[in-house]
Amino acid sequence: MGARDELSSRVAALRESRAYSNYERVRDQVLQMLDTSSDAAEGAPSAYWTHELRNFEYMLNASPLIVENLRHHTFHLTGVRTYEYRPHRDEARRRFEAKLRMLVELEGDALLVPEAPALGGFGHEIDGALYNIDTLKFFEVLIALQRGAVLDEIRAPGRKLVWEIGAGWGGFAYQFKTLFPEVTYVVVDLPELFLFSATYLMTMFPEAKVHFHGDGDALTDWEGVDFAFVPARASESLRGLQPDLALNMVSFQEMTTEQVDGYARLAWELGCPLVYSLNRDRSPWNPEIDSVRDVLGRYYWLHEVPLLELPYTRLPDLKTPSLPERAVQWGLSALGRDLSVEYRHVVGWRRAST
Amino acid sequence: MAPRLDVSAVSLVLGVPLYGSGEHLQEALESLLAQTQPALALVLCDDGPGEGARAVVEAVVADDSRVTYRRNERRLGLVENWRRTFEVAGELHPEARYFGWASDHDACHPRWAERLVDALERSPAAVLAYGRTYQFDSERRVVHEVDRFDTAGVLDPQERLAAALRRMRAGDMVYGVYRREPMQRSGIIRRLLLPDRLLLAELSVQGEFVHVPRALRYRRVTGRATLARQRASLFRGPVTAYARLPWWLVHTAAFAWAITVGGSGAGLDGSTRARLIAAHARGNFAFALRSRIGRVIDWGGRVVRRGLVRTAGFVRSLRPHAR
Repeated sequence: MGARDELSSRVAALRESRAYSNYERVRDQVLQMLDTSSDAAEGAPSAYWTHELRNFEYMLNASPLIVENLRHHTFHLTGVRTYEYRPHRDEARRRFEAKLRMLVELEGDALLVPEAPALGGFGHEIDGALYNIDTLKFFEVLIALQRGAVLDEIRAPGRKLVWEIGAGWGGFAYQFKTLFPEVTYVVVDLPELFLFSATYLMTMFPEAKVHFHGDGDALTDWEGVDFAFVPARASESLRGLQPDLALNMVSFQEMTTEQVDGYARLAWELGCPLVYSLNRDRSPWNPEIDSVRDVLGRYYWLHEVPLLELPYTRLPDLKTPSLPERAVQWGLSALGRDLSVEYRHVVGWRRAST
Repeated sequence: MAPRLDVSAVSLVLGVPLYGSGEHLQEALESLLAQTQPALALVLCDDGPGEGARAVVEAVVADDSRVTYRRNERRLGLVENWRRTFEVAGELHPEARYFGWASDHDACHPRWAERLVDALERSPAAVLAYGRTYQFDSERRVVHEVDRFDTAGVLDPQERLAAALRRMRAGDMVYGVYRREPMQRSGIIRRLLLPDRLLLAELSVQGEFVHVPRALRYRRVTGRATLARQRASLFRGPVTAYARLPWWLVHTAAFAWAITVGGSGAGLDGSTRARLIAAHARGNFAFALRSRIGRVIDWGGRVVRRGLVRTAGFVRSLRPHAR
């Protein structure tokens, strides 16, 4: 069999895979969502995201080979690429391992969910499991939620409703649902991003009951649903629900002030008691927002949950700094860093009034 | 609609001593009113000056029957006002088994009271439960995480006392939830400097401290805690003579009295009491010495930092475009 035939037969086989059929279903839903998009500014992507969306337009017509390695293409959302995790990068692997140990020291490993190898999952192999920067970020977020007494709410009796605003490729939703299978997880995002997140989550949880906005009834029977996908412009359709937790990681800082205010106000009006945010107060690349903290603070009393000195984007240095290096570090910190551009874990408690 | 209170079912009363304009009182009260602990009552004792706090209370509390507001006829000072909240709580809810102080400018997680009461229910030997506490600044940035410490499972009172004297952060732990009876035996809170430290030392003899490892309380940093500040705020009127003596000396005498004559040493034999008094004197003196050394190092650090900031400012001013 020649290379051409081999490729054809492989593609044909992959076309029959569960992942690809999930992708096709998601794509139909996404196209339907895009068809019904209004031209209204509300829910429209920021300038930042308008540019980003162009970079992965090809995902609307992805071949089965792309879907088979979906995670390799999520760098459009995360900037994390597979080649950074090649086996020969031993020093990087050791630094990952050091960071992983630092995180485990905080709260143990009960909340640790490694990267799944399916759909091109990648990372450094540590103790037989895969870890990448996202894996550690999500683990860190779960630790912050644990320390911030948020997960206690999720563990309380009764089905819980979790609302993630901007779920990226669905990595955190995967970890969360793995740890707490009894939650209903609602994702509000730009429709094009569901090509990643919905395909990924439906493939990782083949038994899950999935709801797409516009696919039949509104989300009234949410307790019977595992995942729901709602386009950003239709977030008002959540009215009538009361999420137990609303969370956002690293995308409030990429939105406009009006968009963040809209989400925070909606969460407050829905009676959502807790919000969680991992964001900088302002992103250096986004001039359309002044301060994430100020906007959220209109509706929620914000409280930081500090974990490590290192932000999630950085790995520890393996060598101990020399005395002069330490003196320089101390001097720089004494002079004051610009804390407004640093990532912070923040838990918000609902204000009684706004 | 504000929750209605079944007075007979109250298990926890929170005493909130109010003082000042009530700048952060709205946040503090909202966080207390949002507590999920079902059988909860609040006692607010307003020590003035002015009507600022009363206005905030009226706006936030509305007709919530869980809350009792009392305005002191004359200023009592912080210690006496703390005591007052405890006494009013006892008058209104004598059946309540638990008591806690809450500050008028800090914030508690909605599950704060519930988790602490639950911790006490699970640990019959515990006299105090407190949660993970963070100190935050005016920008709402966490500047310090209070060290965790507990004596759960430690049966020997002398061992508990030694651990408490060495590791307790009294200013944070004092805002926990207590069993009422041991507090009563410890004289509620005594009228001297660092009264929270003495209270916790006495309580450590009576039972265990348990820590709940969740971010349940956020303490607003409003200034450096100094003895001079305590002398000005804790008492009404001129500073009493004993408040001018070294605090550790006064504590040693007060502790010895509490253990022998007062109720804190109830059930202990004579030799145990003697050992506790000696351990307290040793531990407190060591703490006072460490604090003094720490303050000197802290002062040196601040001087160096100020020098660095000024040097950086001077260097910046030399740049041609600097105005």
